[in-house]
Amino acid sequence: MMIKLLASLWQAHRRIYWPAWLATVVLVALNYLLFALASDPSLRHFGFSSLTNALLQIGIVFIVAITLGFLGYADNFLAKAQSRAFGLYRMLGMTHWQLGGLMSLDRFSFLATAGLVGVCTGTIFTRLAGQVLLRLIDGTAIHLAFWSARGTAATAVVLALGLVGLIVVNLWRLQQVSPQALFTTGQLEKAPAAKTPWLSGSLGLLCLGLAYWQAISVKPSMAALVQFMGATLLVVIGTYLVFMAGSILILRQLQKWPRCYYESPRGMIAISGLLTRMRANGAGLATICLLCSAVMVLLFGSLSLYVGRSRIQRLWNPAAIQVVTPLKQRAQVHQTVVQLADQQGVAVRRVADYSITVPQYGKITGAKFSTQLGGAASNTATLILISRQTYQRLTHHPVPLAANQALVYSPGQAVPSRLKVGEATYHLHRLAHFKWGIDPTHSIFPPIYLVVNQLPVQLPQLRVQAFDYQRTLPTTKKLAFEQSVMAALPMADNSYLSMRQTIKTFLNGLTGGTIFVGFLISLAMLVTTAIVIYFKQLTEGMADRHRFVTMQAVGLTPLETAAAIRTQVLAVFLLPVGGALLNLAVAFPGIHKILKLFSMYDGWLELKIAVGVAVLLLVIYLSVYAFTTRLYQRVVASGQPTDGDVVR
Amino acid sequence: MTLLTLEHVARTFGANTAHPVHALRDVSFTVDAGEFVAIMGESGAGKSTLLNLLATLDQATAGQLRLQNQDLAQLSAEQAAKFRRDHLGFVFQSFNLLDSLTNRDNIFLPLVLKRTPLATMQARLAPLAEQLGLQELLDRYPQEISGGQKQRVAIARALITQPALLLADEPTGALDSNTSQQILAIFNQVNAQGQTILMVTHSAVAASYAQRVLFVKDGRIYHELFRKEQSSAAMQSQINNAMLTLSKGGVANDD
Ligand SMILES: Nc1ncnc2c1ncn2[C@@H]1O[C@H](COP(=O)(O)OP(=O)(O)OP(=O)(O)O)[C@@H](O)[C@H]1O
Ligand SMILES: [Mg+2]
Repeated sequence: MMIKLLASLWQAHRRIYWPAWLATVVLVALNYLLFALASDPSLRHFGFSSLTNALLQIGIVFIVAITLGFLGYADNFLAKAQSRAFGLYRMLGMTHWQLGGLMSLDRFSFLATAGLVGVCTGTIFTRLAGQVLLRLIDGTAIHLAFWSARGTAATAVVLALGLVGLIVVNLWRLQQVSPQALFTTGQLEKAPAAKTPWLSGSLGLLCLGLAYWQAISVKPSMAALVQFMGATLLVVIGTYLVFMAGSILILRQLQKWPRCYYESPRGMIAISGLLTRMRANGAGLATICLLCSAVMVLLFGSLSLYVGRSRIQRLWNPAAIQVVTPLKQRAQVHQTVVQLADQQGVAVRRVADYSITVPQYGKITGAKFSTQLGGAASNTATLILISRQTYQRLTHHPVPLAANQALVYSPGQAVPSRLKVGEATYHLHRLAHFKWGIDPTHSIFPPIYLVVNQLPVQLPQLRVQAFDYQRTLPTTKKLAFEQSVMAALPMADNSYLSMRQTIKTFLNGLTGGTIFVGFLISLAMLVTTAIVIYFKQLTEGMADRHRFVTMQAVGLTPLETAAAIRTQVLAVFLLPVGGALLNLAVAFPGIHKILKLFSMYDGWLELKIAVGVAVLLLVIYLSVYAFTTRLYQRVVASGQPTDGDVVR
Repeated sequence: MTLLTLEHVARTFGANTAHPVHALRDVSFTVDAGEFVAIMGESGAGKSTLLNLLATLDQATAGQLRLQNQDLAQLSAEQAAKFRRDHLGFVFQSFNLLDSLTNRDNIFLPLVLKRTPLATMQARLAPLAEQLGLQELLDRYPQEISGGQKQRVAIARALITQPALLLADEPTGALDSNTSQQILAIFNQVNAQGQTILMVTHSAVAASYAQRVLFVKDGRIYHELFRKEQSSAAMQSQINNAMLTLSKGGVANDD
């Protein structure tokens, strides 16, 4: 009997069950996949595997949160649809307990089947995903287990948590279900509130404005990340407020404008429709907007890092090993490196050996560079001077320079054509390339190299020694050698080390891991977004069907109906995606500056990536929109109530 | 002057199925401009079907319907909608006001669809609102007023286009008797001002307000009553008698 009732529930609400079920399967598969990878022993024993693992953990936190959030959302929706049927069962004499049992069985079978199919799907894709991850992080070969017991168990725990949560919430809900639900559902919607929410609307606009200003004005400094986080929080709050209250504000104003309200049928239908449900839907639209924004920002950030990593490497490590020390340790460094290389059978060769001035942190104001302490918030650059002879020796290019002239190499920022450094003022000639224009401190302030005739005597000097060894060495061997060098060298004040393979492995782990996890989170978010859109279309189609029937009776023609539906749906759907694009556009300068922390200076490349990501999302979004609009039109046009008990 | 002519109109549902439903078999009658006609009949007699045909929401399977010399069968769906908003007004049993619009905007809706300038809409609303006692209700939403008030708003919406014909399907079906009488009195009032009205109803009381009552059974017009100079009580009892004869299956005789 229960089974029969259950089957009839699934049948009656198939338009809700199946999409929700499919989305749950995808989310479960993602859960399993991440849990399985994170717990696999073979992913633990290579360079910086702890970094990759930490990224996977972050991914797990996100995916679990998305999964539980989605379950709550879909359940809320389903419960509303079922309330009518449950009210009928109550009226026919079912007790609360029987009803609770039916509901629990329903949720259990939903999650159990989705969990089973999801884990199977996850199993199929886990090895593939493992290989992709390996490719991305450039790790050594691993052997993933075919099926992960720990992954399955962890996934089951998440689903069990979700199930318990859903059952508790629904038992509470059932307390409210009374046979009256039968008579109250299908009533008219609540009238739009008469009061215009000036306060929260303008507060939302203020939040967004502040956040945008912060994001745009963010400076490349340690504070940038914090500032960016703050801006993100403000955007979240602002988006919710603006969608819920600001839109009402705007629509109210539009209503006062006869040209787009009383004298435009489409305008009147769209504006009044939006106004009616902005209260309820504002939050939903804001969620869609934020999900889209998050997906785009995440993909944009990690793709930029991934694409830019070889540039970062060239900038950081023109040679395999660079050691920067005070001059007096020069011989000791050379000896140590050569000795270690001999012991480990590494054919090491010193490829450069030259002096630079101690890097100075500071800022450029007008045509003047002023030195400041390393921690100063207004720092923008790391200034390093080298002599003309050194430059000529390193590049084999003779450069005649007058006393007041200098060559400048600045990969991270524009420099003025005249610059005062200390007492001297130089006329600058820009250099497009300088292989040894390294940033020895790997600081967050982009380096500026000045090639001058005479190094100022008051500046202390450092010695740079660069070594190469055979590239054919296996990665583990390289890492071991670099590790031993790092351990053996006396690293005092003003000493800096940069090792290519170590950094490469680190960067690959970071960017590859981020992009992998970012992609999985994006996938989860897209699935959820699609379902949120789909459910919205479904409910709104139901609510609007009655309205359009009435309007057609008083003379809305079929063509006008189609046009009005398009306008209304487009307005609803362009709002969040437009908001998301705006968010990305505003986040762009902020992210650009944060990427500078990784010596990513190629704004043009970043722009291309951002546009690519935006176009990709737009295409996916529009196809979801097209599909669900067709559904909406069908629902509006269909005379008989198919899922008629989906009442809002 | 004849406003509406029906000649041998028939409407069959599911003509190609095993069990076709002949909702209307052979209906002919005319309505003159300025008349107030009620249509009565038992449930399932075909009253709503007839009204839908007149409302251009449905097409007859045979026969001819002419309204103001327009053959309704000739209209495409697009043209039908435009014809509707230019020449017809509707009042429904369940009011069918839009919950997303204020009462004022609900009344304006048909004019908005015709892209009427705002000034014209306001000029037309003012006397109607006064006549129907709506001034206080205009800025509220339909969910915030009573059933009788909703029906008055719906009547205003039907009349604001100054339609050639006002169609009403059970306009008092959802109202108590007091409120029903108010609504019917309004019908009489606007009829006295020259508005042609065609009303479908179950209620003898409601029908007694009309000048003429048509009785429908099994998809045919079976009988016709004229009010002439009778009192409304006398008219009511005549209607009740006619309904009684009708349900017994006999063919009633006019005299
Ligand atoms: N769309 C349709 N498809 C098939 N049959 C229909 C359709 N609409 C009406 N009918 C049938 O046509 C006949 C007349 O229906 P109609 O709605 O006109 O009756 P009515 O006189 O308005 O009844 P009531 O007083 O109950 O409203 C009924 O037998 C009905 O079942
Ligand atoms: Mg009917």
